Amino acid sequence: MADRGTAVYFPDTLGELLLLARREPDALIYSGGTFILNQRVGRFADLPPAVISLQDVEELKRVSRSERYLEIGAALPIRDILALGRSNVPECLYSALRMIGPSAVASLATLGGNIAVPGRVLTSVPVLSLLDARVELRRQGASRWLAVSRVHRPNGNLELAESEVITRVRIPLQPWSIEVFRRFGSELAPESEPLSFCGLARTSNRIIEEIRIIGSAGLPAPLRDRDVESELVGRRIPLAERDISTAVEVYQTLGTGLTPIQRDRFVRLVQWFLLNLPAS
Amino acid sequence: MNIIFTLNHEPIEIDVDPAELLVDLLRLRLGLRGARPGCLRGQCGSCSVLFNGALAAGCLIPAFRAYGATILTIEGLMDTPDYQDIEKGFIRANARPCRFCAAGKYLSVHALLESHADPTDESLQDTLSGVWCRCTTHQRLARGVRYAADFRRRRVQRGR
Repeated sequence: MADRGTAVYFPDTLGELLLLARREPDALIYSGGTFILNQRVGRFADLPPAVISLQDVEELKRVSRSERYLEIGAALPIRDILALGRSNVPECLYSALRMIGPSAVASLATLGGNIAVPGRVLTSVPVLSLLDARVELRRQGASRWLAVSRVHRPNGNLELAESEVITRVRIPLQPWSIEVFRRFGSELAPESEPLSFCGLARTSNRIIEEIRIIGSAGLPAPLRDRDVESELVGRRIPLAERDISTAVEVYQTLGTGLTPIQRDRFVRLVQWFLLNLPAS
Repeated sequence: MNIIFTLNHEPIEIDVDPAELLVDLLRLRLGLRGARPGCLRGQCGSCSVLFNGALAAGCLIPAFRAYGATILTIEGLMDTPDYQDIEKGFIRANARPCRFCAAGKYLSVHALLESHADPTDESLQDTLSGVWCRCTTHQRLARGVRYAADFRRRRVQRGR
């Protein structure tokens, strides 16, 4: 069968991958490909002239866990991350990954692929941002770490230099008293008015020690206000009605381009989260 | 491009367009019509295959990814005792799937029982929610899977 002239490369090692990425700077780095295939029109994948497949690069499928971090290879399928179990993956991330798709999708989709979609913020990104996760970006002869919250520029492009590849994701492991993740709709279908919410809080003796709240409508700008979070630190639980309504007022004005339903869902989730903070 | 992979336990070499969907390659060019194109967005489960041992949506796999892979379709599963166990379980629970979703349900249950001999409620829910067809109820299907797990366990104990 005649193909459309797409050259596909299958590097076996990270070294080969970085070399190929340098030689073919315009090539599509193909990890799970579920987003690309999901967005196609017609019965063929929309592939550029060169594709570099990560399917054989075992170095990108490793997992390691220390007391402080969980490190996940960028090309490890979501299914394999879920197989680590709830006790090894932060609860909010585990919940978010379960929402990425049914098992037939989770066996293909990867964490790196979920992060590196230009112009669209997919399910794992807000959660990883809230957990202060970072990605390792490598190219031949150089590597750097970048916060997941900075991978997507406000204009939708990715903060990746030419030939740079996401190789692993480092997630700090911290104890939280409550970790909540909720999602409505799907970022893959903007018409479903998607909204993801994640809330983390650490409390002790009825006092908030740390609190983080984020929302995402699938757009590059996250719905997060660090000033409100700092204001809430040190407050007593249950929070006073005035504290909650002050916070909610701020969250009501965050972000642009949200539909009334998205905004309403986000604000209600924030309210619900603040009302349900555990005492310790 | 020319690719070699293992399909239903047999090696196969074929010339493909890298952008072709695996479900189309299987159905239109290799004549394996068990996997059916449904939503074509990876959500309905009717095009499911086992891709390197894991349940995967055939509509989300471009042909080039089959390079070096091991693929099992419903046709390849059909003649195995594993299939018979699932079939017996579904019949006993009065939960035989329709022909449209059969590939998705049999293969997803097979994948589940390969990894969980005694499936948990959560894994069962995850598995069954991956096939959208509602030709039978969730409760019956869940019962069918438990019967199938039981049949498989007893067969393995008997050493067959």
